[in-house]
Amino acid sequence: MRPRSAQDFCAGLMFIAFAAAGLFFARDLEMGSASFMGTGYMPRLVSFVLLAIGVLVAARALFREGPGLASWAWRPLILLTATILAAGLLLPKAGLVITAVVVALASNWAAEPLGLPRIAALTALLVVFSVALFHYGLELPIPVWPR
Amino acid sequence: MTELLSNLALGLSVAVTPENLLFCFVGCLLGTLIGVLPGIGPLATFAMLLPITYYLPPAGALIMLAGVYYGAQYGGSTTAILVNIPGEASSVVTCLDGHAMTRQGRAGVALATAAVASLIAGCIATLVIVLAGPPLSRLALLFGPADYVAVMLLGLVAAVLLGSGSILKSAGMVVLGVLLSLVGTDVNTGGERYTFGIPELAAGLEFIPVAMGIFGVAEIVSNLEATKGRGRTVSPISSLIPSREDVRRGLPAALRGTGLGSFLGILPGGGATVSSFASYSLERKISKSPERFGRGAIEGVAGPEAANNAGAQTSFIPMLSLGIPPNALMALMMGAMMIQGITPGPQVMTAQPALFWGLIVSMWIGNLMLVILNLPLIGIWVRLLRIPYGYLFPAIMLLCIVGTYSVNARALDVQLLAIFGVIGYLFFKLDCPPAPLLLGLVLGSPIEEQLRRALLLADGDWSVFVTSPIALSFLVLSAVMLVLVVFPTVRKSRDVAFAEEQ
Repeated sequence: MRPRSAQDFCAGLMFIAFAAAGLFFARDLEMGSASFMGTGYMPRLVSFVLLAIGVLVAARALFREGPGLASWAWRPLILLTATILAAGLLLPKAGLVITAVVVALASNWAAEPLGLPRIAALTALLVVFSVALFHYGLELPIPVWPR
Repeated sequence: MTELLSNLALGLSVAVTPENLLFCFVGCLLGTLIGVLPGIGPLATFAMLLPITYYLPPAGALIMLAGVYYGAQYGGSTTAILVNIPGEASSVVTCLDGHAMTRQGRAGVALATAAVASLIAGCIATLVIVLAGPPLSRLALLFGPADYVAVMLLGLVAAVLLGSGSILKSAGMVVLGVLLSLVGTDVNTGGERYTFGIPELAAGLEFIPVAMGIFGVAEIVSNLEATKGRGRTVSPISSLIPSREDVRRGLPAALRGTGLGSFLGILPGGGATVSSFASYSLERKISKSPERFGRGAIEGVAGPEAANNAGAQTSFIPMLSLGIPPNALMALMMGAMMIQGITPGPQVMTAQPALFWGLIVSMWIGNLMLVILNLPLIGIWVRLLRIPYGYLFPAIMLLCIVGTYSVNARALDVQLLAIFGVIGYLFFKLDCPPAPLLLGLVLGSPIEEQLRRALLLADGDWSVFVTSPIALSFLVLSAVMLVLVVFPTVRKSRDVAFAEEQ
């Protein structure tokens, strides 16, 4: 049977997946009783409620008309996620200036790129702004230059 | 009464220190800015500012965040009136008549009406907080664990019912938020849950990377998809002064909006957006000439603008007096308080009177600042609208990354930011509203704690939730709300209101 609303059906599956993960990773936790709850009591309780909601959402999507699946903007999603991961590694080692430059260039590349003079100006602005705010303003313990 | 005055005096002494006036000003300015710029909501701004507040004194941090909150309502209405783009969800209805007035060449009057209506609402709502806060806090001290569980459940149910989007999916998001709140060490048994052997996770899932990922990063990706990074053009502004006829129609509407907004803001699940929709439909319903609505009726600007500001402010009441955030923004406010080491709840008022009253008085000052700030600066805000998103989002990215990293100086939080960015985008694509998740995440731990305490005291007997009159009444109220929403009439008006929003 084809779901009438692919979007809702997938939302239901997503809830079910989270609930299943919740139950699976709580499998070794002690259950306890209602008066003396063990570590695993709440995780199981909450996962079962989530499972029930997920099943309801998916089941309803079988019968009720609704939107289909939307297409994903893969390019910005992947590039920006990669930028964040890279920046997280760069920040403590290479410092604020290099991280700001990388974030500015990579973000620009992820969207519709601006022309060279504009992106250079934007990058310079971001470097100045971030060093002023984070280093001088908030005095964060983050290196400005590579160490 | 004298107690009240001395409290206000205490608040005034805190709020007018140069430092706190500056925080208030910065908050209002930032709030207006992000309110004007579509694509950056107050939620994303809160999430970005949270790590920074860590370095500020508690009162200053909260005053600034509060300024962002109500400043955003102001800024949002400016773009709604001038370019027919709601900067915020709460100013969607302002588009209808506000922009119609602009097309008639009365943009200045519409802007002035919105500003003055908001100021009136802000002043009255501040009084409501002053009057309603202390009794509610005293009441909250009578609550037992079971009552707390019930009132928090009511808050979550109301958030699901009054929020936008599918009720069932919102409920799923709340529960998912509660599930995420379980990550970390179980404080009662010392056992670890969902930590996957990562030592940093033992202290629980950090609030900031989750909120920033879902509301910052995911929003950037979806905005890039929608706007392709372009700016907008704007029409010129006329005289600001309303006619006597405008005042005669607008003032009562603003007062009605204030009353409605103050009331809806206090209710769990309420806040600015619901209030503005409710006020617009009320004005249209009681108007002798409903046909003018949508064609530049001044009541359609004054009422909702007053209501959204009043609702924005009174939604602090449940957060400050009960420790229960009525909406996602207040959940982030609670997060900011917890970062500062303050547990929100009835004890804040007695344990931290300077903070509590200082925050409240600063709201009034902030409202005044906004009027002073907004009317002369409208021209500048309008020009800001032309900044293409392509220039803005790299700065937001950098703020999110450095901000997240700075809280604990560890790379794990930045990795979580990336992960929750992707998850947030998944939520967006599956049309699952992310705000309820944040509420669940914040309320998850207190619910578990109180639930355990209640059941321990009751020896594992679940009937404790129906034998306590307070708990029972909250549960009955939740059930009534659920039933009401299943009713076709309520359901229909809710769907209409939110269809307009989307």
